[in-house]
Amino acid sequence: MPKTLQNLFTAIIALLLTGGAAASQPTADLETAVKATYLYKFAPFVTWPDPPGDNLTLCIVGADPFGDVLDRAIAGQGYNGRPFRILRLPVVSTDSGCAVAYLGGSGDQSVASALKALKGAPVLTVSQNSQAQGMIDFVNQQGHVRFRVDLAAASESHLKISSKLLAMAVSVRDVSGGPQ
Amino acid sequence: MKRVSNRMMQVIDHHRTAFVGLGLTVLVLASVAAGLYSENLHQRQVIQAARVQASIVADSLSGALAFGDQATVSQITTAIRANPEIEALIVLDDKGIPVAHYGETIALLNGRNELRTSDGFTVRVPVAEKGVVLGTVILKQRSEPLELRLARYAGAALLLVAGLSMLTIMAFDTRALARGNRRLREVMEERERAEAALRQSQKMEALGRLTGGIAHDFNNMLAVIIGNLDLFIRRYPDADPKMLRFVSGSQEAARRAAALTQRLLAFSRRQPLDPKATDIGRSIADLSDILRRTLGDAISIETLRAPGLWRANVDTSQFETAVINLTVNARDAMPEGGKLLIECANARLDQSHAEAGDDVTPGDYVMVSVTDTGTGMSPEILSQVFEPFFTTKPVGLGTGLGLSQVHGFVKQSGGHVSLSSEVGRGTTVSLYLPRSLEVSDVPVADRIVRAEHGRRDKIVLVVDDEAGVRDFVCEALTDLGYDVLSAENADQALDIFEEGTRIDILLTDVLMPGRSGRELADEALAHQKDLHVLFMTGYAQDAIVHNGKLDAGTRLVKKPFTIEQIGAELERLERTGDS
Ligand SMILES: Nc1ncnc2c1ncn2[C@@H]1O[C@H](COP(=O)(O)OP(=O)(O)O)[C@@H](O)[C@H]1O
Repeated sequence: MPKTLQNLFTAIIALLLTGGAAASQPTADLETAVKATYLYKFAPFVTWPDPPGDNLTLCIVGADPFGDVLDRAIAGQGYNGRPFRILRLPVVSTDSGCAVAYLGGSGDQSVASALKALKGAPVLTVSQNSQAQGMIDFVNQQGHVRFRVDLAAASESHLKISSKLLAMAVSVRDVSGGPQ
Repeated sequence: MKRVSNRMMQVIDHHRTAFVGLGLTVLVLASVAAGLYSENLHQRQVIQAARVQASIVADSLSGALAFGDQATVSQITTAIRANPEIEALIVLDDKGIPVAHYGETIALLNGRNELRTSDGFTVRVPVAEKGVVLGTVILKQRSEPLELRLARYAGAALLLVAGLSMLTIMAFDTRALARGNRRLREVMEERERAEAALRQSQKMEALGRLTGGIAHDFNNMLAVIIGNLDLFIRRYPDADPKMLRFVSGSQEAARRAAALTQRLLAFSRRQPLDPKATDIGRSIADLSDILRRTLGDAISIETLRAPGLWRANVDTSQFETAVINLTVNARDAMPEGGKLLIECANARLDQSHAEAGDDVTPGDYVMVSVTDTGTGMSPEILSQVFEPFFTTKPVGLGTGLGLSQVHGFVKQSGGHVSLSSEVGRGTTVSLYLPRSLEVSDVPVADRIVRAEHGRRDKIVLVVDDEAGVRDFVCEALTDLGYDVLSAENADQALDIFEEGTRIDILLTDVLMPGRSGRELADEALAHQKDLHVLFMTGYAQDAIVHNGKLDAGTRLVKKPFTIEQIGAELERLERTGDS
């Protein structure tokens, strides 16, 4: 499969129009591309307690699976008029200025320690296939990229997550605990 | 106030067409405006509905579209499909790739965000959350189907047409109303004229009745006076000549009084008339001597007679009296002298004359007009001159009966009089006398040979309730050589017939207490077929007279009469009876 944008779009169309029935197992590239778009698309369904400043910063902490796919995906987009900005960090802290943090994990900082570092801070944490899960955790389900939502953790960080996003989640861990 | 509103009505009347036109135009424009407004409103509603629908779809789709949930997207679009007003829908993802759709809409938009077409409105709205564009929804909202809209406008148009026709009908209606009003006014004016004429003729009628009643009694008294004076002269031809002079003076005065009562009777139209086909021109020519003497030297007289003059059906002597009366009036109006013109001409009066004047029957008339160059009359005087006893002349000179006689005579004859006068210029009185349809003149043989005195072997029964009249008549008849019987009333007279007494002539008053002279005559004739009947009356409104004219074959002697007159009548009666 050629790694061109053209082909990627064609693939997306095929996926959308056929309901993905033909492709039971998304290829790694496709999966990464989808996740890259999801990553910034989570943002509009989330409300932060404080205005996030001139930009809305998407942080990639540790391993970066997206590369420039993400950069291209966010081109021209903005959260309430604030352009998205990508920040790639080896280590994250509450002072990093992240609104959304994808925790790839690395030797410098594991996903779990990154979560610990951000605990309670108004940062939407995103993880995948990790033991330690962020507020949103990508999962693979019948060939589709899906996600789980930890509403309790989001609430602790004073983030409001739209019900529209919750409706898309395969599972939601509510404030009272346990998946719905 | 009334005038002002009338004026306004006239203005409205005059500009009615313009008003109606304006009204119609306003109505049409208003309807068109209302239609356009309604259409515009509908369009705006369609646009609004499309925008709202698209926004709702976009909002409900955002999550599913953002995270590739095809099933949910399809579910939502399918739900939208149930709404018949949404003709087409397409959902694009953030890359502009169609995710779900039905109907055809994209081509229509051509890059624009909104497109209005005759059949609906297409709108494109972004699917976005917090400014992050996640996709696009394009939706076409159907406008109300054309036929439905047309039906709605047809309803409005129907109302419009109804309104228009109502307005038109109203306009025509008011026009008809105005016409009706005008006609009504005319009819009312006509009626007022007719009523005025009727009042005038009723007034004359009442006056006639009054004067007629007085004249009747007067006439009877005069009959006694004249008769007795007559008798005195006959009985006592050798009396003191001085005394005879007194008597004949009294006789003269009584005759003048009789002439006056005749005029009164003429006015009251109770003068028995004996209309004959009369050559008016010749009558006037015959009168010329008298007229000249009446007028004197200061007044010239001219008579004009139109060629081919018809004859009039009038009582000749009454006509002559009328002309003399008019001449006397003309003379009195020209004390300084002047000119009198008498014209005779044929006149055909048509409906327009009939409508203009008082009760004029259209038809052929012989017109006689008497014109003077005298003082003339003011309109006030002119309106009263026909009334009896109306005069402007000093006591002893005017009686106020001259024009009354003229009016009464002409009316009784079935004609009419018209007057025109101008103060200082003169007066014209025109008589319209009914044209005679008789072919030839009835030979007039009025001069009767005086019968010789001496016995005649004829019995006359005299019936009159007035003793004075009865006695005079009886005396006069015996003087003429008749045997005379008398009775006070019809019953007494019939007793005489029933006794079997042979009567040659019945001389009876007409109006008596009990049975009338006419009824008496009828019963008497039943007893005696060859009986001659002669009525005496001073009062024409009697059973023997119809419409003031004598029945054919009836003999009548007018009271008061002289012995010669009654003698002549009796002889004429005997002659006609013998022939
Ligand atoms: N030809 C006329 N010119 C002017 N006035 C007239 C004429 N005929 C009649 N009159 C007026 O009409 C009045 C009535 O006339 P009439 O009835 O004949 O009665 P008398 O002549 O006796 O007065 C007269 O008194 C006179 O005023």
